Amino acid sequence: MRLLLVEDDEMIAETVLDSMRRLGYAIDWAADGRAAELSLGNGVYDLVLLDLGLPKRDGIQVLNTYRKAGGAASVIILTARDAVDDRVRGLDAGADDYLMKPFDLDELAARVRAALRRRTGQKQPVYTHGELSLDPASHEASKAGVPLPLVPREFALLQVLIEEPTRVFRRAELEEKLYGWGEEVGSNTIEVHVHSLRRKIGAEQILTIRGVGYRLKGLE
Amino acid sequence: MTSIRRWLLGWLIFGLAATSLAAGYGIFHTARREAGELFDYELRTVALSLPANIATADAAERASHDFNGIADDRIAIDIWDKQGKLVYHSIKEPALPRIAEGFRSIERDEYRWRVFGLQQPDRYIQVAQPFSVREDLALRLAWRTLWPLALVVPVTIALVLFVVARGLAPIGGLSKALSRRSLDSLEPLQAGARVPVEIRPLVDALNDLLRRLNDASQAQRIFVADAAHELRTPLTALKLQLQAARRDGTLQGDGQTLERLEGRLNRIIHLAHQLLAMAREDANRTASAVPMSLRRLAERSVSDLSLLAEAKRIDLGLEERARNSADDYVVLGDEHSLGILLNNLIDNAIRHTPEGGRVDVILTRDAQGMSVEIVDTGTGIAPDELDRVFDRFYRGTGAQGSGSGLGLAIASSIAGRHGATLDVRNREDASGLMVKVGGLTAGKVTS
Repeated sequence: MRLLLVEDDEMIAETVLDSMRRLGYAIDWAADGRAAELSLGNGVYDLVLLDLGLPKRDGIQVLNTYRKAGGAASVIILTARDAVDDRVRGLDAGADDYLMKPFDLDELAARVRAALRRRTGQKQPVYTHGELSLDPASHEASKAGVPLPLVPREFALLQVLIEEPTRVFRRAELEEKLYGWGEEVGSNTIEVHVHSLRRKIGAEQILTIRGVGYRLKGLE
Repeated sequence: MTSIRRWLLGWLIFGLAATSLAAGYGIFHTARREAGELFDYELRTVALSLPANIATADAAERASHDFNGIADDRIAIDIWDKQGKLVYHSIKEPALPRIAEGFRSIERDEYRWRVFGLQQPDRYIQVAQPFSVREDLALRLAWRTLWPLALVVPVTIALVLFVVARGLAPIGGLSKALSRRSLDSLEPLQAGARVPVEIRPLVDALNDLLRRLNDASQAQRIFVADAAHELRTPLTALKLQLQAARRDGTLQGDGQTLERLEGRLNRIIHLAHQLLAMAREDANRTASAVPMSLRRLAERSVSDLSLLAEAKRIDLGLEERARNSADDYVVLGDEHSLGILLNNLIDNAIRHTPEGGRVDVILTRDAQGMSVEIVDTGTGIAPDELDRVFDRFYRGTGAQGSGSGLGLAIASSIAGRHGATLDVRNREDASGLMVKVGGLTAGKVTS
């Protein structure tokens, strides 16, 4: 796995390079748009962390040129610009993800992991969240190492929640994810599944966001 | 207050009335005098043209001298012969005493007479006419001369009213155009080609002022945005460095200090973020009005902030006054801005609610349109501070935590752009604050 960081601020670059290397990635650094284009010409990178506000050449331009030349690496944009249309422009230009400055190192690491996973088409990972862990491949779930006896719908529900543990899922979304088209869904079916899942994994594990839906409890 | 219209109308009408009165007075008197001369002339003509062989009429046929307006007999004629004997007398009453030649005014039996005496070779003629008759005729004549003037006055007043109204119309139009503008619109006035040359300099000066004001406020917004933007990069570096140093152990110190350090840093980052949001809000003077679901937006805001609420063990939830899960509460608005508005208000509520409290986001639909209320169980705001909460950088005396003091100012600006009201007051039923965004325009679902 080889990464390229395109970032003009030395302080940010240093820290990101350090922590990425600490996580076991090989990462190079380009400090401006021109250097980025030169480095990308090598075609050796799997993932690019791209700042938009660059000297010499704008990040969006760099990305456009790269994609037009057939560059296929995953691109995560790191930027201080947060206007919606900037984000849209970035994604339109062919970015895979978008991270707003200032960001957390953990957040960055998670995005990088996810992008690389999508890229390599790795088999589904084992998801963990706090004490909970879920393995889609073997269809097994456990809490603190103790296997959980989940029926298929409960397992599917937990999988939806654990794949995006910070997201709140509306009841309607959960219905869509758990049931196919044309399947009859009772008005409180999701509540019933949540209730039974809570009984097995502990009621405190799933938060009810009043009026909205459900989410796994936070880690801190 | 001085009013051009009142001043113009007052002086024009007063002046017109005064000159008309004076003119009327003059015309009236001149007409009377002229009439008097005319009657004198008539008397003289009568005296001169009396035939020499005038017969003595029968006394019974003689008319009474009060004439009663009978024009034919309005003149009394007496003729004396050489010997001084009265030979002709035209009316019943005894003849007037013989008076000297020429015009005289005399009084007899309560009647005033105008008399003309004429000495001829063989007789003396005296022609007399009562003043009452003369006056009557003279007055009638004078009035007849006057009536066109009486007609001219109201017509002229109407004309003055019309002309003044028309003349001042461009000024009225200008002030109406100014008052119709939204409060912080700095667009130049659209003056059009019909603005009179007298007002053109005013409009130009105003537009010039507006343009300079617009430039200045734009420069200020750009500066704030740039400053906030520029702050972000070093802040990011600082935050990353702090995190990395804590992780690899190069930064030594007790956990609490590092925690506090990171807290402070997050507060600066939040401030930079809010400054940028505010500059952006200030730049957007009109809201794009697109139909959107207020419910979806509230769901997203509640979801986004549920982690923060969870960390403070605050029960954050979305409610509605009339329970109807099919109602999407579609409003016309700018989704991004309204999202910032809701996030700011909910974030504020969570910040000001102690651990274990409750924050409700409540959707309602009423006569004024859609509204959303954020009700918390915090300490509320001291009454004397309530009207200052929208001031930029104002943080209540009891404010703790990491607020920037900009949240409500931004929210208020967004609400204003949407023509909505932002109402902040303390709860009456319990301790806590209630913030209501009211009067959002209801929209129709497209699609």
